[in-house]
Amino acid sequence: MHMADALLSPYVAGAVGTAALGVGAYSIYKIRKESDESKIPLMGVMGAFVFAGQMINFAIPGTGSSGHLCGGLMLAALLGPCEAYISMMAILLVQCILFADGGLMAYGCNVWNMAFYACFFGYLCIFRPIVGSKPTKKRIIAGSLIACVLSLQLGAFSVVLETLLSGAAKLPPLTFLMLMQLIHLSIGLVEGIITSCVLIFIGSVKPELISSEKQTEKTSLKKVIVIFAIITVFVGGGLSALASSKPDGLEWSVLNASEGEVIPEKQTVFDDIIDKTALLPDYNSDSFGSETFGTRFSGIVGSVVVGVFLAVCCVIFKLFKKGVVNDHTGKGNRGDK
Amino acid sequence: MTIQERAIGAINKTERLSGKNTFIHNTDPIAKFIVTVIYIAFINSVDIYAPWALLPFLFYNIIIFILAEIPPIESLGRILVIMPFILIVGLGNVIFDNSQIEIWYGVYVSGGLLSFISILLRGFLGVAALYAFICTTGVYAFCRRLFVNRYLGFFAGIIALMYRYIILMLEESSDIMKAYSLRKGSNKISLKEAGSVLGLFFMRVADKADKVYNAMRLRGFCIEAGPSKISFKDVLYILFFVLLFLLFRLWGR
Repeated sequence: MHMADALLSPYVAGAVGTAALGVGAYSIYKIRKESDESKIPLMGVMGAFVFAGQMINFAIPGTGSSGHLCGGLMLAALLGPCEAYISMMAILLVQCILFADGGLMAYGCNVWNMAFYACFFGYLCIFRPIVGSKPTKKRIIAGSLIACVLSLQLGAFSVVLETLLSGAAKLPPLTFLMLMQLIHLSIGLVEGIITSCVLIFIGSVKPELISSEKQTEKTSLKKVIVIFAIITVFVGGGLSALASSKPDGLEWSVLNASEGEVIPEKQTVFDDIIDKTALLPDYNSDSFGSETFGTRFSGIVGSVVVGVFLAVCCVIFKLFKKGVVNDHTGKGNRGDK
Repeated sequence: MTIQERAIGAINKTERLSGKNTFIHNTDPIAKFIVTVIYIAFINSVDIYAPWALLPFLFYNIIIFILAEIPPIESLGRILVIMPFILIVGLGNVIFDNSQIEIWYGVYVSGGLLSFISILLRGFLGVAALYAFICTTGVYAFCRRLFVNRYLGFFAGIIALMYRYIILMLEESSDIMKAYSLRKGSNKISLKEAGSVLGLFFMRVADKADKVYNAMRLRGFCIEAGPSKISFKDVLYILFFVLLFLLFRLWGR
């Protein structure tokens, strides 16, 4: 999946590279914050192991072809996501400068496609929830397979997107996408099998290496709420003003299908109720004088209302869940801790 | 020769070439790195339908190869290694891009063919520049110079250690592969044995790497930071080449 410089434009490479290096800087910050620089030799060893492991080919049964380890998910399972990401960055840089495997300008894209999805998405969103705190063989196999397949699918999709946005390759987008996703489906399966085999073996010899206890600390709920609140205000209050006034996809399709003729909407009794009760009809309020300000205000108010509604739903759900648990245990609410 | 032995050979060759004492070798690694990145950005920003605009950029590689005394014929094999992949993608352009481009008064050529040649040239020039950079710098010297701040220093430390361990791992994996092929008669390991082969490989190299790391520390190994500031001579080096690239770019318009 290593991308070459020749297929990328400097703009696409620069944009994706900035994102990839940003994640790299965050990962280093996180590792340094945990003051665990003793991990450097281990990361070096693991990086070299994956590098050398990539040169061992495995026969794919029934196809006559062979595959090899990519290693992103395996590194994440053994080291943690941030450490794995940095190790993968180092591997890809050495491959790039020593073996011309992937270009220097495409380095950021390669890091993003091969390391980011496997180390963060594959590991944090799929592998870890499936494997849990007590890894079993079945869980490791399921986690590795699903995580590897989905990470590689996302990586392949990104390759297609970056290549098409760069405009160097003139391949038909749909054919290119289909071919890439299909070939990486089989590669992902092989990668998943190899990763699970290695993890099971290491787990049986040194179980402490893949126990999830050493992984990153739980993110505080407060932090998440504050971050999402800032993003919401920024998007709702700032970016909403840039929203296009043109018709959305469905409206556009209907308009095209009806060859430009606007179909008059039939006003029902429900529409009357909505018109009379809507606080901010069509995301605007004439009382503000300025349409932009009205849109921004509507964005923030709408986000707050949705947030409060979801919070109330969560509280109700939590209360309901508590009741169910208590029914099972047979304990009263007050005595339960 | 196994793939691992070929990789070890390539690393040794790069190390041998980076040990020379020429003007290019003595230039600051950061300056060379910056020039290489700018060069690659320049060649990839040239119009895809104007491959002739890439030809002046060949001079940069010729200059560096001559000044750094890099053997061109020996290096060609390493530079052409990525060509099969680029050829496959480039051929897609020949098939799917049916546009007609006027290259001279009334002379039309297939746009697919022009973009195909452009992609090939871009790939060749970019890899040659990168090869020249590493052959005149070496991985350790580059890592030492990356200690401009704590973040990059951390990253450089990992690369330096990884690079040191790579030879060890490659030798170990080569031995494993030889043993496996002698016993099974095939170079490809079956999926059933993947876990035990790679797992055992990991356990062995982890133990060995631990011993090597302790030995390195006992002998006083530490990656020292290189000079913290870029010298005036190196700034001139960057400026000279950037101006040269601008000229090449203007010539191609």
